[in-house]
Amino acid sequence: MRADTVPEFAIVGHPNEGKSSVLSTLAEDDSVRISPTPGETVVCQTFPVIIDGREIIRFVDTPGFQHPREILHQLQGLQADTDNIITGFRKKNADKPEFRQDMELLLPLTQGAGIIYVVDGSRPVRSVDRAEMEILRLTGLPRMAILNSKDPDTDYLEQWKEEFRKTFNVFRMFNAHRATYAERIALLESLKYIDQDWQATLDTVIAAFKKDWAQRNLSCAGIITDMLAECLSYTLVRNLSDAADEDRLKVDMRAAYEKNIRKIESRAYQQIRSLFKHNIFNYDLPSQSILHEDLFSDSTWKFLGLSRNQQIAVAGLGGAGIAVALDAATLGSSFGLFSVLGGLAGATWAALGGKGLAETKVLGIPLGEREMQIGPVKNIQFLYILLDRSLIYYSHIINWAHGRRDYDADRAQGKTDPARIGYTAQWSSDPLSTCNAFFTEVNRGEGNRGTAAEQQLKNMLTQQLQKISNSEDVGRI
Amino acid sequence: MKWRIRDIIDLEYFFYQDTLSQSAENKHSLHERDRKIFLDYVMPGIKADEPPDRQFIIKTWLNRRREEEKTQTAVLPGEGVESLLASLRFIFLVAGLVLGAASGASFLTYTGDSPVNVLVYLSVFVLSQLLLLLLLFVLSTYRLYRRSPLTSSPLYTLISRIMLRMMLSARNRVTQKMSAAQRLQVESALGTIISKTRTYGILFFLPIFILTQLFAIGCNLGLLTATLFKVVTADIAFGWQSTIQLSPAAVHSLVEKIALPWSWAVQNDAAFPTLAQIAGSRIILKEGIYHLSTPNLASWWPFLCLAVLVYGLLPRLLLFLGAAFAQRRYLGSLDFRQGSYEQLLQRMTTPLVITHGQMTDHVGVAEKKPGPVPLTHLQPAADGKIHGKNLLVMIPDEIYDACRREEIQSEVNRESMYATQEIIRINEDYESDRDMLANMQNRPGMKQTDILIIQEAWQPPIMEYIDFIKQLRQAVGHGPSIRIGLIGKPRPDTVFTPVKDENMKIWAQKITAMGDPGIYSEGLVTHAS
Repeated sequence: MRADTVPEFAIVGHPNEGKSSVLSTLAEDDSVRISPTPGETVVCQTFPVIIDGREIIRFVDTPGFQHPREILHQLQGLQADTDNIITGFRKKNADKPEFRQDMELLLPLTQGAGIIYVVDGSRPVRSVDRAEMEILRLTGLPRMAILNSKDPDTDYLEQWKEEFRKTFNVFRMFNAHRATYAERIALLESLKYIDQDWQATLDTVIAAFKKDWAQRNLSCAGIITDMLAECLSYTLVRNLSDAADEDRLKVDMRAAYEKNIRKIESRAYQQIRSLFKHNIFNYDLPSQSILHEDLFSDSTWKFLGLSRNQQIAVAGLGGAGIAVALDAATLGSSFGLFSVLGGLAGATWAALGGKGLAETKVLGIPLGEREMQIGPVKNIQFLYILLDRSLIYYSHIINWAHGRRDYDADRAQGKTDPARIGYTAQWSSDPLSTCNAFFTEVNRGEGNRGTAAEQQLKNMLTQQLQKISNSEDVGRI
Repeated sequence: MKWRIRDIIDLEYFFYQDTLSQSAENKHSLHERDRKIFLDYVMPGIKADEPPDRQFIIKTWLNRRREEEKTQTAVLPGEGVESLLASLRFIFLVAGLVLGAASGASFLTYTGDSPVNVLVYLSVFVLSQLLLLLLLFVLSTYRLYRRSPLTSSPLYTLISRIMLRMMLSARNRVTQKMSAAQRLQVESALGTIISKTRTYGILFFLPIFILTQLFAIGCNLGLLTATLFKVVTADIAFGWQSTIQLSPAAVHSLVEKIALPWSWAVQNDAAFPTLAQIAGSRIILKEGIYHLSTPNLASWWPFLCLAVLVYGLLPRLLLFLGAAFAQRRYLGSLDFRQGSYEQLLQRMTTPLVITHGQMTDHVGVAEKKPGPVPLTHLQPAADGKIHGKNLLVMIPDEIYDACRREEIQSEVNRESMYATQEIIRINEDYESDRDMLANMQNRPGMKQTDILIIQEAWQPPIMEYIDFIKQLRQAVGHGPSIRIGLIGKPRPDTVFTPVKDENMKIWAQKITAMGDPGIYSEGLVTHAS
């Protein structure tokens, strides 16, 4: 490779081995067309990495090999005649339409690109694969291999590794189901070892990626904190002029309250999405995700947030104080925000005040003009439910494997664990007390923003997001 | 045996339905269904000492399938297409009549200022038709001379080249916009068209040809009717004129030559005008027409009508009859040797072996089933009859050693009844495949040999594999059928494993895209086995 050019890495391999999946992880670009039908990529597509307006490195997605044995046969014949056999091959076959895709895939190699050879490690090695590896060896270019297992089958991994040792000095496993930030950094780190000349450049890239990621996490923490403050302090007040309409009004108010909270939550999700998915318009959550459950549904409240005992314990950490402990002890935690209302049909909402999950009041005015109010929420569990959902959403969003239809089948998992499965239930006392402090402050209802408690929550969330980024469990629930 | 277009359409419809169900389980139930039809309906119609006739087997199967289907479908596509064709025939004939009559009537509008110009009538209504016929004749002669039915016709080549260009450029333009799955679907649809054209050849072309002839017949009939109607109901003056000093004698000699086909049969005066009549019907504009005598001006019409009849109507009638006869003959001579038919015959003539245990109650029923057809029934080789063919099995190098001979025997014989088997190792390397293909060209007895290529279906169908199959077809010629026997991922104990449905579909589409009716893919191993 010439010193003045941008380092280029061509992702090559047999058709349908997951080249584009590897690329979408490296380039953090879900617009790469991926499908279970082989031959999706027919022309090379370049994905530059631009830092501060300057292109630092470049990845090239290539079509799969179509004639590996014939190419190898021709290259072996060309060895004696020319220095650059790939250019020689391309010249010789320029007018043969059947070689169109092969020519396209070899093009970046004529320009000295580094090679990232991708194979599906869940299938046996075949002669076409050996031919491909030999072709790559003959190019003399720096190269590494990536074992991308599409199926859980691990029977052939050793066979592949043995083959790789003959041709590649670096190879690594790639987990297509956890195509995340951590996987991306790990891939880039491995690239450093295929050619020493590229180490400095790749170090720059990795450092920039890390910094960029930290910045995004910071913004994300800000979005979540704002959303929490808005949801927890949200209040809905309506006039009740006729007593006969009371039940109806309650139902209406509850629906309106839920709708608005959902709206605030989904607006925050959109902001998070645009932070991480610039290149995808339609993003679907994986089918098994608990986020498909409604925010106010029983199962959301059953599986997310803290357990009853945790809530009581957390109440002692200060901040929310005895009111929180009382709520937890009396109404438990496996109810939805409004489930109590249904059970106490006929009782006035005023009677629920102080005990109900949402503070409901009726301010009776002697002249018959009354007011009804829902919110702000007094149950801290709501904060943990919102937090858990945001963190789960984040963990899905940072996983690039999602846009992929070809991995769906393997991702389907069994029923979710009946225990609390969210992130907050695993937290130690420090983050929990930060949450408590924040909750208490929001509950005071003074509308002060930018307080110390809010800042602390933001910092704590930034750390948690970084932790999720580095974890292997991304996109689990 | 009489075949009609509706039969072919229905056959193709049933085959299409069968290909929709490609999973191994479905394949097994297809085998059960067809084997039952063979035993229950075909066997009773076969004499023990005579080899069964392909056409008879296929026709019996078709009739049986139609009966089965009638309960589910109101109208089968064959019936639909035939009634559509009948309507089209009527529409074309009527459209021709209307067009011919209208153009004749408008041409023969005579206001009394100047007579109808005979030379123009002849060139518009007769000469143009003659030229078209001449073109058709020249092209057909060229085709016959080249001994290739349709594909070598220059017009056909020109049209197909233009179409191919358009398709290729369209494909190149949309390739990047289409997903791989869509691309594969389009390729496979094109392949189906090519393959069906190869199977039925001129049969697709004849109904269109017949419609064209009907339209032309209608036109000529309409024109004749309009001319006669005008002659009877109006006083039309026919005359001729020319700027170049054409003598009446020259016109007479031309007219005489034109009338040659009918002048022997018709009285001389009616066959064509006499020299005096020709001279008397010459129009000289500056002199006007008042001096011309009416009998001379009226003497032309029998000649004109006879010209349309002989040069317009008659050839079209002959072409129509010829095409109808050709269609019938062609249908009668179909040999049903292409992929889908081979697969059907194989299913019908292969005993259904069920090895899993059965409840005691069912054993009696199973025993009552008629036994397998003895191989000798299918052996004698006469044209159009089932042959006991040889089978050449090609196994890729990487699974060659893992394929146990007895396993191949049992997997291959489960579905087919081949006389002898030979196994060849392929895909060792590029050169050895070349050598093998070269040897294939000189191999004796290939006409009596079918080929089975065992292929791991989880491997994507890269062009190298498809090219190999194409080259193999070139090497062995169009006689042998080439079956791609698909298998799944190897297990430690065997390589003969069932194929995933999505892989089966991708391979089937890719093979169909080749457009060769004699090449087909199928799962070698059923889940049941």
